[in-house]
Amino acid sequence: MIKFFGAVLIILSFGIWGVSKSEKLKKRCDSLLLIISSLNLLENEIAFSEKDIASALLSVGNMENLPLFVTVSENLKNSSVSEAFSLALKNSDICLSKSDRELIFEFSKSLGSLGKELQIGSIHHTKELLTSARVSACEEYGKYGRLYRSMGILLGFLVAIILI
Amino acid sequence: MNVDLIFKVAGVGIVVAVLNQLLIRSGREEQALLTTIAGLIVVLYVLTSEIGGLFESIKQIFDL
Repeated sequence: MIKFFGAVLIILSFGIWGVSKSEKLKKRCDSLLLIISSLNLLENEIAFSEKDIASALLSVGNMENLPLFVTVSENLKNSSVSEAFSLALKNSDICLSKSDRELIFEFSKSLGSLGKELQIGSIHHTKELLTSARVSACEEYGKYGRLYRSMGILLGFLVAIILI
Repeated sequence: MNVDLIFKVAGVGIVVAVLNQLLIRSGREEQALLTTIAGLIVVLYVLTSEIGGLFESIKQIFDL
């Protein structure tokens, strides 16, 4: 009986590991889409409103429910834009890869320091890069999502069979 | 004869075969090969004592 429960626990834990890996891939897709739509709103805020960058980021963060931008606007009280973004990206639990975070950090260097048109141009460029990153992230999820889920359960069975 | 051992080896074989196919279809041929080799090593490890016993029996039978 105990062996049976042990086997079930092993299979469940490996299965949960597989599912969590698969979900991470999906969340990256969703996070990138959220950031792209937030950048659309930020572009409108910069182009048509007279708000400073902190207020614009706070407004966009609240509208799109993106804690990253809200954290950046709070960090802006004590630091520059790029430092605020760097700190927020380090402490945020948003699901992004290292290259995505570097992309957003590079974009943050142009915020608040250049003219309106140049900032909007930088937003367009970042949106294009994030869109292509999102396409490859969604392809990766389509290719490997099911693999990780199945692999988790199968590895659980394998370990259970070997141990028991 | 220990029937559990047979079921264990069969179970490992089936799981490794399915994993192998999954990995090949996802384009990860090298990981599939590594999985197969790992499964082979695990099964050989499980059967080590039985193989040792087999060699002992052969030695005794042929007086080597």
